[in-house]
Amino acid sequence: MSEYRKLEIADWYDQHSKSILSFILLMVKDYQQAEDLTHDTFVKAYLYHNSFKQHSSERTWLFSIAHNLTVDFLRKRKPSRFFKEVFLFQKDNTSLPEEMIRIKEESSELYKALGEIKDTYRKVIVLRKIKGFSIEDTAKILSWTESKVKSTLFRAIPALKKQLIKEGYLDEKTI
Amino acid sequence: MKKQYEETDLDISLKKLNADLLWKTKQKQELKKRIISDIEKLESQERNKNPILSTSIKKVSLIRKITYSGIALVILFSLFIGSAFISPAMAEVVSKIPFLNSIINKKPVGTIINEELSERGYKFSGPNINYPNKTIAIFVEGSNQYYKSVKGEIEGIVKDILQSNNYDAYKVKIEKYVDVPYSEEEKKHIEELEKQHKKDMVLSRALDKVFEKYHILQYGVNPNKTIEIALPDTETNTEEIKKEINNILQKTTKEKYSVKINKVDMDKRDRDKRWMTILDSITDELIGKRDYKVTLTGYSINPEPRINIWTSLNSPDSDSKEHGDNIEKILKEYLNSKEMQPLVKNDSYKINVYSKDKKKIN
Repeated sequence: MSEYRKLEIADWYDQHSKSILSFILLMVKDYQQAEDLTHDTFVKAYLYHNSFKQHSSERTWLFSIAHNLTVDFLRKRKPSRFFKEVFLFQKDNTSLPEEMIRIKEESSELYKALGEIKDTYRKVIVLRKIKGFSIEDTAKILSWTESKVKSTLFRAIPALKKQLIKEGYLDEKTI
Repeated sequence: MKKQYEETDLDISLKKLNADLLWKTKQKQELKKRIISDIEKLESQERNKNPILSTSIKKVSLIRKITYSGIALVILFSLFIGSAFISPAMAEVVSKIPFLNSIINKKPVGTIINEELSERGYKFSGPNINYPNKTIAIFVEGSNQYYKSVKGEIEGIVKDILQSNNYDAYKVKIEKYVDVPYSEEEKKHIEELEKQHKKDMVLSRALDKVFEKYHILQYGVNPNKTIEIALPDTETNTEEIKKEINNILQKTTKEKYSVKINKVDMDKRDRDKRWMTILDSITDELIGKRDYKVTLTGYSINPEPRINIWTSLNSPDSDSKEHGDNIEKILKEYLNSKEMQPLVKNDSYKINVYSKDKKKIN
């Protein structure tokens, strides 16, 4: 049984790890941390494999685990890590460690702008528009109602546009 | 360099973002190895008949442990004290009410402050709002140096938020967060909680089927191994539900659990929710503005709904009665408004305004 579980997790990892890592990365804006939380997501999926209900897809399920872990992490960042960030690196939140992950030039503006908007806006845009989840699945992942997903997305898109304008990547007249 | 995006262009660009993020294969494989090796460690622990998935497999920080046990507490809390839940529909109703034209669409001030500081990337916890004293405290995490460097900025931001909402009654305190290390005993206790929580989760997942079938309001596992379930008082299948739960328990665990069913008076529950929403909608405004001289607010639905307002006034003052009457008038106007109808319904209610020495002044 556990051998099967392990194989399945490995399979899920191959299929979904990049998508999950990038979702977490957009939320926490720190590569190393995103990697750790991705690790935790899959280990947790293994631990709670029995509780995985087939009526939601494994992708939705993995994303909700990732989302919960990320929210918990953001709520209680470790002071020691924070110390490192502020005093050793003078960390720029939007830069990525290129030897591990990088973003193509064409999308870097968008990546940057997404990093600047509200957490709730960001996650709803990432899930709906980037990851392509349905409203229903997005609601499941975020533990929101479907109408909250809709109304938040409705506000999030203009907020993202505003951010793009602010940074000079988007012409005001197109809005 | 400006680009012309159109509505659909933005959508396309967003979709492209996923593909444009390039994760090094080596990095991806290394993480996979790490995950699989940790899973294998877990497996060998299982084989050693140690069902408890110890936290030693990873360097789990104390903070994370606390977060986990926090989840356990939050879950239990929300399961058993679910009546504190406010439905979005109700919140929406409140947001439409022009209570002195100023509480429309207003989030609780604590939330506004927390969001603003989080968005700006400060490392902090809070705000802790103390009502009778009307202080808002923010605790800055990290080193002394960091604390000194951001204290002024944070104070400015909080004060700006208060000012822009016309909340002039609060004192703002920015303090350094002191992390008190856990004693061995406490650490042990946290670990125990975490282990228990993991077991409880497995159990409640197994029971999901029953819970989905019936109209179960809340459920949870008590520390003394009781599965507590709340059912509407109209539910008649109690015995059947109990039987089904016991069946699943027998299949899932060797430990003995008892099942306790609590019947919930649905009307009362509904009334409680409504009045809590009403109270929440007025509290910030009344306490945050000096003019109201309000120190605390409260509500009760037994036997009849009533809103209690405590002020800092002295009861013998001639102005006190007038002030008390004024508050009552404002609130009545608010509660009698058409928009508040869905929350107040046909409940008859009372508003009591008290002085500092707890005498009624309206």
